[in-house]
Amino acid sequence: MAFTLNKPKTYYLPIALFIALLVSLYLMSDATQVSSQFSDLFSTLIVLNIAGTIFLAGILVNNIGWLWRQSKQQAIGSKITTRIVVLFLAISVIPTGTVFYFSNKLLHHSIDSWFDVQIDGAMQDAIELSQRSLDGRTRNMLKSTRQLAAHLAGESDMLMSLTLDSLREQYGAQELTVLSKQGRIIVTTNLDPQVLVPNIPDRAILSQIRQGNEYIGLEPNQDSSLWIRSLVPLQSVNPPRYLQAIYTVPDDISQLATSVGTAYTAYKELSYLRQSLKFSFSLTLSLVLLFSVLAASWASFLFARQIVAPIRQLVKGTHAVAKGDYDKKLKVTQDDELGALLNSFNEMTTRLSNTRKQAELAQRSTEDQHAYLNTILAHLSNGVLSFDLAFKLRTVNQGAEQILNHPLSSYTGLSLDIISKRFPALDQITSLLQDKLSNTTTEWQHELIIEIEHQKKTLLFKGMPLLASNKKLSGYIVVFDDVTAIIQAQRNAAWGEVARRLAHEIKNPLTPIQLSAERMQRKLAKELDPANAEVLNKSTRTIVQQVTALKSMVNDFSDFARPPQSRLQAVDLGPFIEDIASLYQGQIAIFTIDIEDHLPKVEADTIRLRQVIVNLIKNAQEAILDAPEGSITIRIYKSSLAGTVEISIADNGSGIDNEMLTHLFEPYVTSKVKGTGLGLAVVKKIIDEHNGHIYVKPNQQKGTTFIIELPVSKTINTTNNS
Amino acid sequence: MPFFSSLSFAQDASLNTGVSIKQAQLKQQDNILFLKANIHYQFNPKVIEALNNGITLTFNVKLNIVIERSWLWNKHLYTIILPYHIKYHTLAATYQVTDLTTQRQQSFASLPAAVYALGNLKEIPLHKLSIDLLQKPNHSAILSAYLNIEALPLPMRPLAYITPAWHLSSSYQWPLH
Repeated sequence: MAFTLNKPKTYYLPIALFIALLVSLYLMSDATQVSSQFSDLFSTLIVLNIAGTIFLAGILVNNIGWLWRQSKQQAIGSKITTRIVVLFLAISVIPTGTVFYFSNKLLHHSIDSWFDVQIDGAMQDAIELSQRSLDGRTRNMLKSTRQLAAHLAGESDMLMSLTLDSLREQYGAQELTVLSKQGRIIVTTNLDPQVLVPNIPDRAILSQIRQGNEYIGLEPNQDSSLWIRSLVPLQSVNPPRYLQAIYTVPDDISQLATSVGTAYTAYKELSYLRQSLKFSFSLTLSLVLLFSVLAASWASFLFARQIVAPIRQLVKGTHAVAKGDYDKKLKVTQDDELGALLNSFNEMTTRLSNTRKQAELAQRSTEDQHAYLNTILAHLSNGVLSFDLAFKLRTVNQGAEQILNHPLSSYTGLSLDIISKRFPALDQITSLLQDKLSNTTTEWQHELIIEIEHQKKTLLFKGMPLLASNKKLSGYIVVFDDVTAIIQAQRNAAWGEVARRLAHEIKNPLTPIQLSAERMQRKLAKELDPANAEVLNKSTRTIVQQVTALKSMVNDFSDFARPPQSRLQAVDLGPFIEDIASLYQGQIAIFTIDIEDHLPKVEADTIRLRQVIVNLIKNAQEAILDAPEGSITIRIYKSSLAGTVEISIADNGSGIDNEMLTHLFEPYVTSKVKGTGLGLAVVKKIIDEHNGHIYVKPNQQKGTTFIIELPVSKTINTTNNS
Repeated sequence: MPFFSSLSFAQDASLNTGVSIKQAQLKQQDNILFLKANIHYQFNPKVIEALNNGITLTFNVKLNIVIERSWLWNKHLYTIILPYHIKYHTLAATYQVTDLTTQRQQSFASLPAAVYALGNLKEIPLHKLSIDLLQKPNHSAILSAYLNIEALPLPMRPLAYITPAWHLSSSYQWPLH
């Protein structure tokens, strides 16, 4: 899978700046040439280059600071960056510095070599020769001026004005001017008639001449030619007057002298600028050196960052993958091996992500199946147990706990041996399972009758080996069910059939027997003597009584065999029980009724439920018959099981044998001398018809307690509540 | 009759700084304004050494006509630059002062005379300026004289910029009205 390549644009600015500075350095270097057109920009270029160098130095300081912080934080890639930067600097500084040192030295030597003692002397001699050559001429000119002054001595200003022009022509002067003491022009004449204003000497010359001295001097003209200015005071003139004569130097001499003077001046200037030249060249070289080093350092940082960036990305990506983030994608900015590495990483994470998604789907599917199985197991009325090969309990469902009335799930992970030792109540089951699981490798089935909470239960166990996908034995699974109710129902059905047949077969002849006995007693009693009549009377009475008893027994059978005909309605148990109990007030010494407040109504057939309560009270009454302080307690309360109300009828009578407790609700089981043994069987049948439950438990001290659980009618109570 | 717009005498407080403007004046004559100024140049040994070694020094005399503003910087109306050269002529052993505006050249046997002539500006016509300026309030003239370092030989410029001895300048401002 290929990822888009993002080209960084971070190089444009450095490259542009680098080129700009390079051009600037070139221009500065060029400007140092005498004939360069960039000479006027020299200072600006220096400022620009220094500013550029400072900028680069700032970047370097900033980068070093960044690298220092990175190293301090031990950031990824800081060591590589440091190494690259140091390597770059070493590579750039050593050769550049060497070149700089030797270039600078060579430059200084070259500049020094321009100047030589001999050249100095020659130049000095040349200028001196020129000056001496001109000195002779100037002295001659001074003499001429003196002669001119002698001509003008003692003359008035007016006369001077008349003679001055001819004198100028006579002596070959360019210009003659007579000046006053204050430097005011008195008379002047010039070879060039267009020149109206004469050349006035400066204040220093005037001051010198006023003191009676003479002046002679060579002066350059504007057109590079030379002239000689001479001033002498005029004798015997009052007020004092001064004659200034200006002579031109012949062009050939003037040009030669000027040429020598210009060359000398240029050499002297160059000599004077020697140090400045060295400084300028050194400055340029230094800037080039600094620029090279700083640019190299910047490049090193850019290069290092370029190298380290994908490594950092890789490390971050690896950390993300280590944390489980397989969707992490790295930005690919390079088209080289590192870019290929990033691409490979991205491909790897994509594959990992896909694999994880598939694994998650598979896991979710497994979890769904597990939840599905758990839900099925939890809602199975059958008990399900699973064991591993070491007979350790692995799985228990709610059905198993409900059937055995034992918190089996807390035994998960325990072996059958340990469960057997710790919980003897389960001994029968653990023994059976140990026996079957150890010795049977195929499917097995076994019925087991055990006593749970004083009730005998018939459990049907089925076991089978648990095979893994590779057909190897991985454990065992045991499914069991409480078949007590089924067996009881079968038994009840059988008894019901017996009772129905008995009722049918016995009840029919009873009425003729009773009627015949009564008729016989009525007919024969008058004809017999009193003694026989008494016998007859006694016999017929016995027959009638027995027939009545038989009828009663047959009615009981009928009741037992009769199909359910309950008409359920909402019954408030409190008043209902109080109403029944009122019939027995006074008959029982200690008769306590305890009814909880706010009891919900139950769905019940009042007639049949009354039959149950009456039957149980009668039983209790009979049980406490011989007890000195016999008492009966009826309690009605909300059961710990939700949606159930319990009625307990307890006595402190003789109690019931443990042997009998388990068969108490079966037909023809009774401890009474008289009785059909169907009372409690009918009671149980009625309670079953109410979807309730009845059980008996012996009191701790004495007596027996019957407990009836009746379900609360949800619809009725919901209606009432609303 | 000449009308003197203003006559100002600058204090001789910067004798050691190299340049000080002693006097500056704008004078109206025949509808033309003339500048008259007396600038005192005091060359230090470094400058004199350069001059004697053939270096030509360029001094600019700059006249600015500005409107003074209280809250903002002055508004510049006119700027006139008058450049002057001074150099040493080895052969003639004279100092030459050249007015580059008029190309008028003068030679002086001594440096003080040349320096005096350099600073002695006599009635320089300022055709660019109108005589009405002298009537306007808030208008000021700023006269400054300075050594033009950029006119020095190229190798000297970097050092001249960073050496105080080459920083020869002075400025003086006076109101026109």
